[in-house]
Amino acid sequence: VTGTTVDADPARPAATDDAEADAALAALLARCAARDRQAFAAFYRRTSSAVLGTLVRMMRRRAVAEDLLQDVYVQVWERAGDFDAHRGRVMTWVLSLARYRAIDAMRRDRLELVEPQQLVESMDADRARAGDDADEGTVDEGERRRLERCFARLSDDQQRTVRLAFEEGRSHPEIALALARPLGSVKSWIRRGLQSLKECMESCSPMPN
Amino acid sequence: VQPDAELIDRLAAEYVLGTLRGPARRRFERWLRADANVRATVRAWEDRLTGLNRAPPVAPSADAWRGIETRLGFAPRRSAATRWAPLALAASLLLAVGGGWLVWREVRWQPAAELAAAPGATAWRVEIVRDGSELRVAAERPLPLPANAAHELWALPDDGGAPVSLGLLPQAGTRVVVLTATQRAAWSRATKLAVSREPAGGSPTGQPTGPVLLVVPRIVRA
Repeated sequence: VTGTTVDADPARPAATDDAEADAALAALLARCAARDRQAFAAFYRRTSSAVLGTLVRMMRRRAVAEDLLQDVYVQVWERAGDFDAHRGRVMTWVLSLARYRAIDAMRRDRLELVEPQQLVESMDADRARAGDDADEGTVDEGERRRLERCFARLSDDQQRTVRLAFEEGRSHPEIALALARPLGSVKSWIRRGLQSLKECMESCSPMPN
Repeated sequence: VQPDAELIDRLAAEYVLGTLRGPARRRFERWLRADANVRATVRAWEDRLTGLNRAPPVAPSADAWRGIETRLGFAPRRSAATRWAPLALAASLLLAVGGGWLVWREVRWQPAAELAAAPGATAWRVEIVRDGSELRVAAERPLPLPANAAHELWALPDDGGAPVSLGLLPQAGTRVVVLTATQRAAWSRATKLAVSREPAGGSPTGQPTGPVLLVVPRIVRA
């Protein structure tokens, strides 16, 4: 029953696909809340690669990331009933769970820093291929375009520090160390970057759902 | 006292971004659980920033899913079933074979004699396996038996030779007698069976000593 409702038609436009895929995920999640193990397995199959990708990016160690992946899906099963389809997208919910889990693990394990230079290089490489290579299906396309447009308006320092924090899960001091810049500057870049991002995204009227 | 919206927004942003750390993050999480307004602010930031996620997908190993199933208590039940499956199969095979053997054992018995004083008043029913190796005697309405006495079954050779004991008859239930070579030879030559009353434990001489109670023809089949 699930398979027919979830499989997206590749011929459809991407935005419709995303909305439909997310609605299907929300339906699976609702069945998880009703303790449907098959729905849980289907949900895992559809979302776990994106979640693990995020965790590997943040933790940089595959084994650690896979351990956290298990934590995340145990939480998904236990908290499936918390998700409210009316107030957000499933992928945002599950990827946020994963990011918070990773940040908690970093705090707990005092994960050693990757070489600062390596960190910056990998980030620059990401920026070089940004846009053409983004993971599909996890974010509303209109939302993504608005974010990209607004993100592009930030200063280079703001962009770089926000990305290091979000994608790599780095703390203020770690970013300061990686960029060899004062901690205070890093904090204010991030704070102002986020503020500008919000103002810009709110000024472009969101597309009605 | 409602903390100002700007502070909530700033903390929510840094919480979602991940730069809110340490005790401040803990405090914010408690606040988050308690305050719907804070939750809404966090969700708005999650929606805003989720598009920054550009990590390429990575397919998890099969171990990851097994680990999740185990941790949620899904797997043990299935793995236990898997572990016991061969044993269950073996058990059912054994049952089938054993059952088949029982059926075969049952069908191999063929009627050998009705030990009856009158037609329709069967005292004992005698059956024998096809190869003549075992005899089975079932008490139906056995003849009355005084204390310290036994009913003994005899094969009466056709040629008038001495009767050969086939063992004691049960007063209830069934008794199976594995025949000796002598008994088998006597059986094959006998056309009649006899029942005598003997002292408890059977004839002390090896020949009938008490009264002969019944003499019946043996059922002979091709």
